[in-house]
Amino acid sequence: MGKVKSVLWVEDDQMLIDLYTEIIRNMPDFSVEFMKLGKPAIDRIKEIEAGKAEKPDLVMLDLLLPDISGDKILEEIKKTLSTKDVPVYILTNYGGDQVENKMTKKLNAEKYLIKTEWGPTKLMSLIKKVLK
Amino acid sequence: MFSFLFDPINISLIATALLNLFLGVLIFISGRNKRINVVYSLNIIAIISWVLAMFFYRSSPTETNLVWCTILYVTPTLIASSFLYFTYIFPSQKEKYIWWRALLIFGINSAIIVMVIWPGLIIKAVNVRPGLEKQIIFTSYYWFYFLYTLLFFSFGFTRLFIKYLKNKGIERLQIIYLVIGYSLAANLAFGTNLIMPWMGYFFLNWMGQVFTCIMVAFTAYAILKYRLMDIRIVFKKVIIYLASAGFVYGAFYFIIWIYNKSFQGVYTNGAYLLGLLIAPVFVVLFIWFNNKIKSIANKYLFSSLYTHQETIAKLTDELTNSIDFSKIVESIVNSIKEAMQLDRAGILLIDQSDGVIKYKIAKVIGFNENNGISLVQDNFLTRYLQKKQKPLVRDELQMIAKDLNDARERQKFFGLSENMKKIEASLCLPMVISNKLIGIIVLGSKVSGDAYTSEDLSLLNTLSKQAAIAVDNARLYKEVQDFSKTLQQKVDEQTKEIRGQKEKIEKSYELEKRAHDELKQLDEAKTQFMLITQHHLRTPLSVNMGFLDLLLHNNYGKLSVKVKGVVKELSKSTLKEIKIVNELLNVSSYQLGKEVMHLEPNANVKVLMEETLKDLKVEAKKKGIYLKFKKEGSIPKISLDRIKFKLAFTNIIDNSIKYTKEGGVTVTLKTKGDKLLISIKDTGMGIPKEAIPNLFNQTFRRGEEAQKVFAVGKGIGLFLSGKIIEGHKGKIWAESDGEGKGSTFNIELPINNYQ
Repeated sequence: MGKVKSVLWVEDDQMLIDLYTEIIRNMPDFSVEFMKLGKPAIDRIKEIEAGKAEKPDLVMLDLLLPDISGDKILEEIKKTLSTKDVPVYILTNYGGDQVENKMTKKLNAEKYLIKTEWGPTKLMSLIKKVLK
Repeated sequence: MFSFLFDPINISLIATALLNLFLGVLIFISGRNKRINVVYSLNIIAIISWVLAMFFYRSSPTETNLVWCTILYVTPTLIASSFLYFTYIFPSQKEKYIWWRALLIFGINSAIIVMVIWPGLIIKAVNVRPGLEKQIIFTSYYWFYFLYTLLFFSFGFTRLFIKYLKNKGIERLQIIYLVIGYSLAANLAFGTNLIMPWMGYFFLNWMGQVFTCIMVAFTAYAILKYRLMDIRIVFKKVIIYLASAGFVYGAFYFIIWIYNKSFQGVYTNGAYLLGLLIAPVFVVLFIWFNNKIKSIANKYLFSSLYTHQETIAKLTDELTNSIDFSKIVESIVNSIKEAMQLDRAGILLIDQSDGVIKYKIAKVIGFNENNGISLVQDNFLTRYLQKKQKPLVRDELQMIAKDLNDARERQKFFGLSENMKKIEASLCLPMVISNKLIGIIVLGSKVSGDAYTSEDLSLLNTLSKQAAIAVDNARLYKEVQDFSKTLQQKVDEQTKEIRGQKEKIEKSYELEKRAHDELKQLDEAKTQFMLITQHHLRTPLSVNMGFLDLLLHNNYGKLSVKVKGVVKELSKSTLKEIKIVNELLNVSSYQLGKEVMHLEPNANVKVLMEETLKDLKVEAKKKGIYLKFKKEGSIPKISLDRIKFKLAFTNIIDNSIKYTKEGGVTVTLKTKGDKLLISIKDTGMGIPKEAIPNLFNQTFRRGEEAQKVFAVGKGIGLFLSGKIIEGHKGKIWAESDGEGKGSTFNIELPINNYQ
């Protein structure tokens, strides 16, 4: 068994957090930390850069957040030296083709997933595959 | 001993000699290198000798009577010959063979002199008669002498008279004064000194000599008035020297007189001592006196002619160093006025446009400006100066007029003279450039009231030529400058206009841009609103779908078949709702026309279609129908918006699968001319004929229409597909033989659509 993979999951909707928590519960090799706001996510990146926190193996990122919009967090991750290698999956209900283009081509997000198209089962198998 | 000095006849003879001497010296000094002056002075020397000969003849003792008498008759022959010679060279030395004539004249003269000197040939004896003039006894050969004198003088006067008729202007006037003076003196002398003695009357024998004063007077007048032989400067110099010499002489004898009075002699110790004191005082006094005399002479006799060279040099310097029109004009007027000491001076320039001669006052000092123009009003002066190209002196104008035969012409000259007099102009100098009159320099009188000398005129002539060149250059320069100024003005105006237009354009562009930006912002806001709305609509749906997903995957324990069926139904309807939400947003963006195609060149349609069909085949298989793909011939690459095209293509096939229960869907790809043709043929329920035309043309402009469409949930996909194909400059249409008979959707894409 490999070491426990950590996922930083930025999601403001409690119902969805509940939903995702439900499936993660059955996966012992994952440690998932949810953040409901953008600000702590930015702080975390800074802490990681300062060596005060561990960097996650994957970031799941919603775009529409109450405080800071998701693309700002994405930018921060990709421009910070110690986090720029961390894969970022945009998981959102926000946007379509153009937003996808912007996130993946310009801001270098690894994937752009629409929540309605990525149900929990499908999503988990994707995450497992990536973090294997 | 000196009793003869108190004889009034002798005194008048001495006075006559001095008068003649004065004139002769003046004429000689003023032009010692001019033959005309030299010859005239020789003539005067002969006259003086004749006068003095009479003085000595009258005063001489008996024993020298004959000698003085001989001299008395030799000297007039010299007068006659030098006079005749003078007529050949006066007023100008134009005659040919002048040396031949001189030889002939003086040859004859010599012969006569020999005859006079030859003892007893003409003069036999001189008898002294107490209380009466001496009596001369002539031989019969006297008529030789008489004839010689008569012929020489007559010939001379005839010559002068012919010259008088031929000449014009000032020379003519000089001749007439000379002829009148000379002929009066000569004719009178002829009577008193030649004819009367021949007839035995000797009491007026001395009068001829005195009559020469008439000649001197006329000559002096001609000199002063008509610059005869140009002696005015010398006249002034002589006066200065004479006055200075008089002062020194007077002072010297005054001091001697004082010495004699106070020291009983000049050469005493006291006198030497006083002399030491007086000498420096005298020097200072003399310098003061000399300067005073000079300044007085300058005032009345005019000095600036001394500085001709200087004046020319100064003005030339100023003229060549400046191109500024007003400066040049000013320095011309000022220099001339100063150099000549004039009361007024001015420049009128011809402004010749459209063939009309107009004068403009460039600069005047002393003149009334309006008067200046009145001078040239009738253009007579202009024509005259243009023709003559010589200075015009007012004093001479009337003389010229008098000699004219044409009454009208004469009237014009008088008129001009009067006009000049009225505005107090004495001289007009033409300014000529390559034979063309460009202006006139008008001058007033000299402050001294003197007339212009010929030196003045030649200087002014030179100056006016230089002035003309300088003025012309400056004027040309000014014209060029004005032209360039006008050009600059034009350019400025145009620039301003262009700038104004540019500003207008910029302003309207700015407005347009602002409107565009506002629209863009509005669009952006709208898009954001749409995206956020979509997000909010989707989120609960994804929660729903997520939990249903978990339920179906037995995350909450194994479901009973019955429950599982319900959950499946719930999932289906949730998915359907998700789809509606997605389409709703797409439609709204297309409807507003803001969705832009991102055409990429060299897209492989075939591969793209195959990819799309792969996903759809699963669906078809689920439904139990087939989905086939056929390719006919080679397919060129075209420009496509891959994502949108895929969406359009998916929508149509989706639609076909949805409405086909048996059979299946066949997709064909082929080229047809310069177009790609895609046909999607199904064996489904078909489309009612009346619905076909509106299938892709729904505009949803009216709310109720849109309401209808969305309520049914049908046709949104097709509408979108139509818009996308339109965006590719393609065509989409449907064919159906009727309900239940299947339908065919055709997509036509131009091969070269990437523009």
